Amino acid sequence: MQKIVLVGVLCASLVAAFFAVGADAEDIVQPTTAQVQTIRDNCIDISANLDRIYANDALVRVNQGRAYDVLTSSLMQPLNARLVLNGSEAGGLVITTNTYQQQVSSFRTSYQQYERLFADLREINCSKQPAVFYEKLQEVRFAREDVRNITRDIQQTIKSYRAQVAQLRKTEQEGAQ
Amino acid sequence: MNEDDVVNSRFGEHRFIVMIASVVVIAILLVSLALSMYISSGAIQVDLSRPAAEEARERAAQNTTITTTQDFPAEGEINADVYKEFLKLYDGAANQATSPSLFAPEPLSNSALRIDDTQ
Repeated sequence: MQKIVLVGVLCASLVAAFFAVGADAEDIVQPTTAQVQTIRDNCIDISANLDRIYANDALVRVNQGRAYDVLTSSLMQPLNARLVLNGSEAGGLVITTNTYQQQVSSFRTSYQQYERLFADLREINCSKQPAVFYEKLQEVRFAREDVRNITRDIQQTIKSYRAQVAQLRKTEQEGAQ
Repeated sequence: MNEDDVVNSRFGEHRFIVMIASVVVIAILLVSLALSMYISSGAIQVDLSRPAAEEARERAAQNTTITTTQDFPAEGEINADVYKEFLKLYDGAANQATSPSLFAPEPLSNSALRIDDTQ
């Protein structure tokens, strides 16, 4: 019975994974005739807007990467090491730090994918290939959404680490009284 | 003079040119390898010195909001005051790392790019 349940769960996971992977491709819609015309007419403005967003994202990426690195190298890892040296419980914090580092690594990978798609989008001549441009734009949006989701996960982990430290502080205060 | 001597003498005549050509080929290979590593590692995306990142470079020069976070000492005792000090540093760094509007979808929306269906 357990084997049947296990196989069922495995099959369901595979089907879910298949649809999850294919979802982005299915979600890409063709532009309407009006949109094609609008893209063609406003191509210069759209390209200028995209250039601005691309430049801004590059700066955000640099700043975020730096801010994420500072949190681990200057704060999380030193505190974890200090707790271990003092024989205090640091297992939870070490696990959270590892999760954080994996998420930051995923952020780098997903931003890399996003940046490549964005660069491809900027290469497309929107006045000559408006439909292709629109489809690529949607791919860029999905990639941007992935990056956004990972930054949200990272923010959650940052909060989680803080909550764990606050709990340790509370325990320490209660022990001192 | 046998065939080997002829080959050697011809090589001897052109050995300087062969050396220069070899050096150029090796240099091209190494530069290609370095460029591919530069691109595949993602370093290109954080390199604001590229000509394409001129606008980002200018903004970075104007952006003075990022402050350096002091390193938390990895050695020393642990008590409530230490946690308090840590949390103070942590909150400052966390504020710089967290922003609700990071990579928001709005800038790339149809309305922002003015490609709405209704237009």
